Amino acid sequence: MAPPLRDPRAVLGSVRSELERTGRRVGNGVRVLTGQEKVEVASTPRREIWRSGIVILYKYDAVEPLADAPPVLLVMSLVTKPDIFDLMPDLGVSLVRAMQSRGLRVYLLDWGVPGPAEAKNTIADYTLNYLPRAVHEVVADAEAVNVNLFCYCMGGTLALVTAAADPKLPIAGILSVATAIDFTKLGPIPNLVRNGRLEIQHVADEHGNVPPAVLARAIKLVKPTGDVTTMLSLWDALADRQALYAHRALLGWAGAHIPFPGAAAQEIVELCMRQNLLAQGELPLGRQTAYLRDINCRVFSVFGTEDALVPPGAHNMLGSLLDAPFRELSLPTGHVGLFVGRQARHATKAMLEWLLDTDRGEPATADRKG
Amino acid sequence: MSTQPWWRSAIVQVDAWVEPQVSKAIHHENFARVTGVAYHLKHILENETSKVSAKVLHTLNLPTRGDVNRVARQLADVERQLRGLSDQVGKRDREAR
Repeated sequence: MAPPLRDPRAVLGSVRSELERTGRRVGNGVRVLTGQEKVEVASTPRREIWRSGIVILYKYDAVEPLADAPPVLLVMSLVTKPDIFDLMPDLGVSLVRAMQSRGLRVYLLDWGVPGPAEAKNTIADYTLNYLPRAVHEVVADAEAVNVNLFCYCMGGTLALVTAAADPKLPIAGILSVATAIDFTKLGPIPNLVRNGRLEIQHVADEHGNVPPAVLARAIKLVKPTGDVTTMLSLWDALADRQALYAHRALLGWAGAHIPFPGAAAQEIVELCMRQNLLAQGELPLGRQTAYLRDINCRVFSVFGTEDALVPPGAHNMLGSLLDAPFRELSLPTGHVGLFVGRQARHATKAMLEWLLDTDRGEPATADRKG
Repeated sequence: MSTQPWWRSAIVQVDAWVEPQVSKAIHHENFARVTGVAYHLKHILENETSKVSAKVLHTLNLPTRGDVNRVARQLADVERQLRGLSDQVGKRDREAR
């Protein structure tokens, strides 16, 4: 039997609607191509309060009334810019603003864009030098007793190793989002470097850093046909200016990798991917070794169960490696979905509650000085 | 009835079929071996090409990219040492206070 004919009026309506959308797509596309629509990310006002080389510590303006909780230091990965923490403040997609609205004092440690002088930076430089010094600077500036570290991706790895290397640091807690501990589980990337197949020197640039293009290609391997989804999302977003703005902001950040210091990259490959030491609870840092069991601040791990880049298998052993109080939260989303999208609301709520929770049944660590 | 245009549904279906195959190939040992060999060969080729062009340029008393990079690395080392010294001075100042 032949299918029933659609109502001609409905067909006409749907054609008219699609034509209107196409018209909007063309209009928005032209605006983008002619540079009329600029995307402003990370625009929440902040000021520099400390610097060491290209590493800068920023302070965001505090919003009264202030919460009686430790200040928060945002720590990002070494391969992307920290804009994700304050991606689209004008559209309400900003972790920084969400924290400020709850009275938290917020600081950001920006690793900068590595150049020739950073090629020899090792993991020890970040975990025994930059991050501890930034922690002390935040505590001094905020006149606090300690600080909570809020970390994303490799930022969490660095924070955990920092706290393990020096348990006396004034760190109240570490909130790590999508943080890898077992680097052998990071998709096809560890396979490439196993058994000396690929060495950092083969991909490093003339300064000794791993170029952003190489990092982008490696990450693309995790979802090889991801560009198809991206193009379809762009097609959808083109018809709506706000959706298009959001799409461009997110893609702009996700595609803007920064050079990865060669020495640190070599250590990640050798110690974390080949020897998989961190998954065993330890990491050598030059003349000392950091043991995760020495961490004495509380740890909260948040991750997405659909994260293809840092899957649950890359960090679900973290709790067993710590002696410190540990909590984890999983949400049905991907690597970026914890900051942008439907699940971001649930993630943000849980994370803010944890940061504001000063009653943890542990020795008092949240009191302000003076 | 689906609200997606037919072409979009087709793309999604093709992608759903292609993606697992491509992903499986990428996770295979052979992909890792071939990629490793390719980058290794690229590295060797670049080095050999640099050596040849360096001979030509040096004959003409011109600097090569390698010469410039060497100077850049030396400058970077000096910058690192200066930063280290600056940090030590800063630390001493803080401790003196």
